[in-house]
Amino acid sequence: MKTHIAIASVLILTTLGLNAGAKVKVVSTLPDFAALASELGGDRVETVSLIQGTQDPHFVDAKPSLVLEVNRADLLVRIGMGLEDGWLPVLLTQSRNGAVQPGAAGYLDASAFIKPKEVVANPDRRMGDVHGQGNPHYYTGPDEMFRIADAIHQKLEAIDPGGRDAYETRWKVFEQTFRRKSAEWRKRIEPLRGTRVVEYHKSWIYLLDWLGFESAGALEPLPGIPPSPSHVTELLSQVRQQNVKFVFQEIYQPQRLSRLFAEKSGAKLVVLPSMVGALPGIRTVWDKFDRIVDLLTQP
Amino acid sequence: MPIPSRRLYRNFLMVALLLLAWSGGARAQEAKDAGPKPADTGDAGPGDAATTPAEDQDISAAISGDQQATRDKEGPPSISNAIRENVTPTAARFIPDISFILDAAFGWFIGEDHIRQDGHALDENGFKLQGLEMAVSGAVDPYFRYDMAFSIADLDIEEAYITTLSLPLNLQVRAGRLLAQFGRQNPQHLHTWNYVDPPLSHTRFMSDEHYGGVGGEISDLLPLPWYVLVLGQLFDTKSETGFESSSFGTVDETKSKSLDGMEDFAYVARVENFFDLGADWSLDWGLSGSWGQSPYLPDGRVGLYGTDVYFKWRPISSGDDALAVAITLEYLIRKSEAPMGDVMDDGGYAQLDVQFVRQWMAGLRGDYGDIFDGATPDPKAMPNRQWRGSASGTYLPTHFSKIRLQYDVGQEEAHDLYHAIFLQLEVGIGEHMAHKF
Repeated sequence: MKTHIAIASVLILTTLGLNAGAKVKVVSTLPDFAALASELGGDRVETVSLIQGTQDPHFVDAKPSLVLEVNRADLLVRIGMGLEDGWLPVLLTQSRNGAVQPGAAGYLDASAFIKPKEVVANPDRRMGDVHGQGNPHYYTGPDEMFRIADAIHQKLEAIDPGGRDAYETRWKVFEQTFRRKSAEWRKRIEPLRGTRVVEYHKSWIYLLDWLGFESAGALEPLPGIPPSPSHVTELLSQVRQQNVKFVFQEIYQPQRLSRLFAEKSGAKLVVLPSMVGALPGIRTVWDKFDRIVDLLTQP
Repeated sequence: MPIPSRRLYRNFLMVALLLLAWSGGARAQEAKDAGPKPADTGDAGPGDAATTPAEDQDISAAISGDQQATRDKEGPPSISNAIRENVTPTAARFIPDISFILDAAFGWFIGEDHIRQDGHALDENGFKLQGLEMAVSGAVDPYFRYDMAFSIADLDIEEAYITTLSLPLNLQVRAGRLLAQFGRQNPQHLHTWNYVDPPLSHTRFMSDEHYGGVGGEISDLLPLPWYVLVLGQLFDTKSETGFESSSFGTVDETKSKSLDGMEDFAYVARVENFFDLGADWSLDWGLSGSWGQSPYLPDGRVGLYGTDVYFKWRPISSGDDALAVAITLEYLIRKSEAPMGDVMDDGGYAQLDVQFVRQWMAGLRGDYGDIFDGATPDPKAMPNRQWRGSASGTYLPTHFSKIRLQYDVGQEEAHDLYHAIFLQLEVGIGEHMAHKF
């Protein structure tokens, strides 16, 4: 009997102990959301990203280790707009975690907090891999990331009310940093306003609009369809008269064609970090946009 | 086997399918009528408030003008207007995800007496519609999800089940028409194969299509630092429920010919371990077992055991995210009680699949099956020694279409060597279904 009581008390104490020290586990599909949650939650949260910054978010393996992460999540933050439809539904079902299913308190579809661009009213697969709800690569836009940071901080307060003051303090700091940084970035890129760029995949509309840049076309003839010689030749002859300054691409896209295209069109190829972790040394959203501005303003 | 009950079952399925199609259409119509109109549709529907398109435009212009003004005054937007600005269309939310997948192939055999697998495989010279699948899925409510895969080509339900989403203690229950979660190959649908035909061991031990039936499953994700899933399944073996298996008999093969005890069900157990060896390497290892009635001896038993390893390298951390190399190994062994004594046979396959770029894949596979103790009670159901080698190359114009060329060389004991060549086309329309690992 005594041993039973002893075992029971050890179990109870351990559980209490675990709960007392338990952090809010935030699992995000996009590494940027995990970085934002770390910044906004400090040591009250523990964050994991299902996608690596170097990885194409369209094609992620629904690995059982990711199932385990979703299973243990208190909050799931996703990109939405169909970008993760090839793999996230499997993880959600296999996770057995009711707390992070759509509609539950621990589910946050970040796309609900941004204004979608390039919404396609009647999507058709002849248009390539288009998303009816709009271009899902909104994480390339600083203002969009700010809105999502706001949503994440409010969500953290809702699911961990005990940390409300801590989250508020951190949010205030974040907001101030954003305003300062945003002004600084804008000042640096102002002289480049109106610059024309060619994109590899149409991932950059949110960033381009923020920069005041214009897209002169994409190397992919249609989203998700690899570049074809005829399309690239046509694009090249089109852009030769247009003074295109940059070719934008992501780390996970092949670079041989982009380099050739840049050379032939007189533009500069820039591999921009679309996500946190895409290039070495990019650990926060600040790092990401600092680097983007650096890469674009380098002589 | 077109016995009357089976035909009745199929007729019922046909009616059910028609009803489903009709109700789906009706629901789509309702959703269209009731849901908010996309911003760019011109005419005002019956559900709309009485504003003209021009007024709508004026209102949106005024709202976005105000928001722009606020933004200009205050700098970056705040969340309250961010939520208001959200224009995600919601009209189609309650229509389940539906997709149709077609697999068709042309094949030619050189040499007589080639191995025949039935099911989705192509067994004779010429063309074959290998599969015409309709997949439907969606959330039922916060507690259940519903998935269905219906084979339109042969009016057969491949899968139709509900899955619980939030049971306590990491438990999950699935119930309905299920595929046996035995090994790696059996739970995979035709359109996820990297070859035109399934491994010989699949046909020998599982089924010509899939081992499965109507039943239930319970599984648990263990609270360990790595992924360990333990799973148990139970299947009804009455033939009219559509029980399919190459290893186990139906209740018709028992003495009583009726389901009257726990021994008349078929059972599956599986343990799956997954090890994440850094971001780029994955290793999945499973052990499976299945037990049930012998198809050869009334009240005889069959035990089937297997292990499977899936090893994958995909260098995502260096940005080479389209490149992937995967090795799959599966080994199965079976003991069947038969009139002439116990029979033991085994089989398996080893498979190397390489994805070079997003559009190109290639694969090599070797498979075999063999009786190593006893004599076959039925050479068609349990063939003598067979082996085969396959090489396949796949071109994927997009994520929704595939063109595959495959070469097979194989032999069955006491027969001549044969060669075969296949050309396969696969297309899918509708919702893009998520892939399992």
